[in-house]
Amino acid sequence: MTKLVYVIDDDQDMREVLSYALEADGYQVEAYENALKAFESLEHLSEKQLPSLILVDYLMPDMDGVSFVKLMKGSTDLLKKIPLVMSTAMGKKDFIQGFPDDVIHLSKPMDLDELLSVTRNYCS
Amino acid sequence: MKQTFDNHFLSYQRFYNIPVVFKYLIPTLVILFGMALHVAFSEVVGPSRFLFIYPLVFLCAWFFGSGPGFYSLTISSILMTIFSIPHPEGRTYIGTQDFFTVLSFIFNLGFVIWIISRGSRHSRLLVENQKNLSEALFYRDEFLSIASHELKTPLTSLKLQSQMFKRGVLKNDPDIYSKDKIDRIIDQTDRQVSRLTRLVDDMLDISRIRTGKLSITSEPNNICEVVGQLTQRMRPQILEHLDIAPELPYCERTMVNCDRARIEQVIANLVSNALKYGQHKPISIKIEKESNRVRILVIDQGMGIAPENHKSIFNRFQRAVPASEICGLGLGLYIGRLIVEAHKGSLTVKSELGLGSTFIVTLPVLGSEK
Repeated sequence: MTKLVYVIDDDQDMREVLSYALEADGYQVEAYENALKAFESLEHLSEKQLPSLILVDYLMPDMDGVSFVKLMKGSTDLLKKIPLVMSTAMGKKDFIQGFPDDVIHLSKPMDLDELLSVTRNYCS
Repeated sequence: MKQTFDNHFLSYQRFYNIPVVFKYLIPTLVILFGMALHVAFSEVVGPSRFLFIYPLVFLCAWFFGSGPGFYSLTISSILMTIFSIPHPEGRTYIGTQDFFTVLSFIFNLGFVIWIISRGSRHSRLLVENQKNLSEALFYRDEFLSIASHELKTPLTSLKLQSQMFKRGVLKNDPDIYSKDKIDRIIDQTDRQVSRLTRLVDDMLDISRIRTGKLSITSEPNNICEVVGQLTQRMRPQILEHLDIAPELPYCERTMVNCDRARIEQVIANLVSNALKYGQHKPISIKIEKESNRVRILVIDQGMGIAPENHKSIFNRFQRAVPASEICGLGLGLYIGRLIVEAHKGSLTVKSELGLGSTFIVTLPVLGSEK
């Protein structure tokens, strides 16, 4: 069964390129421009429909990556379990104030292999 | 004059490298020496207390700059004030009371009050400076974070794109050579390269401004033609955001001595901002001539700017909305203001929250530059 991955990024090109990369590796991708809309869509899904992984950008309008993670961690048990990957331009996650411990960090510009390896690891 | 005197005491340190123990030990010894002189001579020449101490401590204060100098002045004047407090029995606590001791008491008390008031002013200045410094550091850090995000996002897109293409080629995937795919890759690459070019250009301009190397090559230009042609060139970009592109109303030929490329850069930035912050509502561009000045107005109907931000948005690294709200480095208006000011003009804004903004570039008409 094809695994579903959510991509949340305000940058259209980033959404497109991440979607192509993951789709080419056999994943089904749903891309969102806005973190809040992504969260709202998650609330209506059953356990089987939930994504296996959520890839979220750190710096975004309306709701940034850290706020999205807080929202997820404060929601239902089902949503809390979904692995989260946050991409930032800050080099190391230690450089970001309030970076959640249980979130996987991807540093921009990431390698395709790194992206796919993280995705495979947490989608399995 | 007062400012010079203050500056000497507040900020001038002649001997930074002297060990602290000497910095404070020497003034203390000078005070003690002065007091010993006072005790020795007060029996001979009367208790004219401040006469012996002050030339010495004042010299010490001057010699050692603000820190130890003020320390010695403060300590000695406090001691002298205490010593010359009148006793109820008609003398001071350490000797007889005469005209000089009363004068000394008044003088020393006044001096202590003066020093305390200076000290509190100094503290206020220090607190204010610290606040400004913290603010500057905050904006610098925020700028670094934004710059890093803005530069690395297109780089990520380019990197993943090229690696995906390489992987397709290595796998002999025929799909990778399809026209649609090639067109998409070229379009994306072109967009990302333009975005990076704009960012690097802004950073270079900031560097040139800092080193005073922002060159302006002025020559006579018809401003209506400059703005009109720019508006036409920006049409495709504007139509990506809006249904209607603005048309420049008829404009009477107005000659301005300007660097065409730089003025175009300023107007293009204002139009680009109007598209970013304009909430997809129509924008307009106008030119108004008034006696010896010409005003170029870029008007949007977007989110507007709060009055308290009307000045700060033209400063470096500052913007009217949080950094995460809108992409860009927050340098455009700062660079624009400096370019327009280099043309002896001004860049201002009229705006109300929720009612849109009007950015106004005012330039002197050719022949009227002062």
